[in-house]
Amino acid sequence: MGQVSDLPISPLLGGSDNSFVHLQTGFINRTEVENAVDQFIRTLGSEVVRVRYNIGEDWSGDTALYFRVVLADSVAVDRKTFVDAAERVSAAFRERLQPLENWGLFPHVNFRSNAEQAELNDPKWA
Amino acid sequence: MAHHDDLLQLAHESVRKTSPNQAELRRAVSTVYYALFHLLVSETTLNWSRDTSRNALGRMFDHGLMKRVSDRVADSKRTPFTGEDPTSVSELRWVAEAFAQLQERRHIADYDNGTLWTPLEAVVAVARAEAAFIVWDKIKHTNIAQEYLVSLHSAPRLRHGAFSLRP
Repeated sequence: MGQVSDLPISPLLGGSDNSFVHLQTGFINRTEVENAVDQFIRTLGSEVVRVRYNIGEDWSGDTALYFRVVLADSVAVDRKTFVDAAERVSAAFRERLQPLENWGLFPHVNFRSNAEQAELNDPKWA
Repeated sequence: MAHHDDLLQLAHESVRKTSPNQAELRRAVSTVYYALFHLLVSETTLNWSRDTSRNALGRMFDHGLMKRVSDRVADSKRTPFTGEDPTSVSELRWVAEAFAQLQERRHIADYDNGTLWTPLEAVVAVARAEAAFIVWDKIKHTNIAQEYLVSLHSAPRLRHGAFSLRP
């Protein structure tokens, strides 16, 4: 299950559970996004150990969704297997969650293996 | 071998090292973005018939505009591509999304020292760029891919066609 807002969010983006996120094209309801994302994450397969995410701003100031996906070590046996798994999961975000179409939020999806995360112990991914 | 191919190869070699350090991982992530950036710039300027002017034209590309165009192309609601071949559309969207993702990764790799990178994160970024090169080669002669290139270079003043860029 994802944890929203575990990274600082600009005051412009609001902070409460029912806040609205301001986009160039209008407003979206943060809770609606979170509920949909949480529901989607539960449908991902066993190769996905954990997903953390937040709504933030990209380098150009556009609002975007940032996903941090920890994949099982069973798909990290070699690079090709890991890349294939990452692409499968990315496709699921693109085709089933459709954050661009639904909310105008570009999805940035990044992947680590469980072993890598265990070694780094990065709180943003924990 | 063209410049963008060299950059892709350089990034590929960086992530194949046994234990790449943070600087090498960041360099690889940054380099693959520039590989894809220069591929698209090169493909666009190839359409300019006077070859002595192509480098000058290539220096006029704006990363921000390229991102906004790519965001829009990846969005099936804003850019439906009605009547176009669905496979080509899907592949073009994939390239556009890869471009926008790699650009953001590049900014983090180059400027955010608080973000640590793992070898597999960098491997995924390089693989994404490599796949984008292959997919682009398949679709580059389609009209929608060529229109994408034109839009990467300059925002239309009038709102018509597939790539108008009104905020």
